Amino acid sequence: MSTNESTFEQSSLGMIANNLTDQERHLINLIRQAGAAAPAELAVKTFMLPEEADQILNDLGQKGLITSQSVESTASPQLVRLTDLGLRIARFELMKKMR
Amino acid sequence: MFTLDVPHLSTVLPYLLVATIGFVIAIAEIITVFENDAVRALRTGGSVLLIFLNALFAIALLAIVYGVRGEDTANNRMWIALGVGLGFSTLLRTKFTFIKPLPGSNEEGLAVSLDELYDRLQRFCRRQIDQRLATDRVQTVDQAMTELELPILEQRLRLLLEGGLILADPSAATYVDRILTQTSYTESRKKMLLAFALLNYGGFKTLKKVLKNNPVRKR
Repeated sequence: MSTNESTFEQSSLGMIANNLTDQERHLINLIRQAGAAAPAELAVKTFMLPEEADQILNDLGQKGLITSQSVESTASPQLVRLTDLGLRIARFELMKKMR
Repeated sequence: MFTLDVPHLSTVLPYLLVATIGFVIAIAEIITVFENDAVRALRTGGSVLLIFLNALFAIALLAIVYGVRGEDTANNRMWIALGVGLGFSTLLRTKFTFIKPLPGSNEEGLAVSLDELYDRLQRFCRRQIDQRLATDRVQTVDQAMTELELPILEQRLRLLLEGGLILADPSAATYVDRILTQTSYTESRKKMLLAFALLNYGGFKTLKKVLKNNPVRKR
């Protein structure tokens, strides 16, 4: 990747990251750490009720940062994971924290 | 009676050595990511694939080196194997730049990114491992919902969150009550949340132990 592309990518990621709420950032970080997780699992990790977490997860899904996939279970028929864009945002946030 | 076929052993040993080096490096890569769940992570298909491919590529490269060098390798096969084993793992994680244009050029040059290919393989395997671990967690919660009574889950979780067994957020102390007082939740939903919380704050082993120590509820 050339320097121009890299700078463009960084500023694009920065724009998306700046529009995230703290709760969205927190959930993105949790999904990054877990790789894949059930929405209810993410809710208990943040001491939220599932419907509170679902609202944030819906917003992240609409922003194209997470995707869901089916799994055979009665507890949680879906798992969520970060999309490629979501992963880049998670890494961007991580780098920002480390700086 | 079984006798050790020394000529065959000397042929096989170098391959075993490179395979072991590839094997150990791949295991180290997995363990560093899944520190808290290393054993379960290593048992997944994604881990097996990554370890197997690392060992296989190393063996294939050693066979090529032996093939190219032919008779020259007869006396120092083990040293060559050691070099290939260690060198291969480094090469696989390296980007080779053959042509790098002068600064100011718009051209990107010529490079072979073995590290990028390996990165893709790792990402694929990581996805498989994550998926397997998450599915295991969800299925263990399924089992807890079927086999455990709500008071047992409540008692264990209160002990963990309110008894100070773990360092948790201040909201942890009231979290169990928040779940249990939700009038719109069915018992099954409450059990699911408590089981997920127990799994998350106590770990996979804790929930498994609770399942083992409590009699299975007949349906």
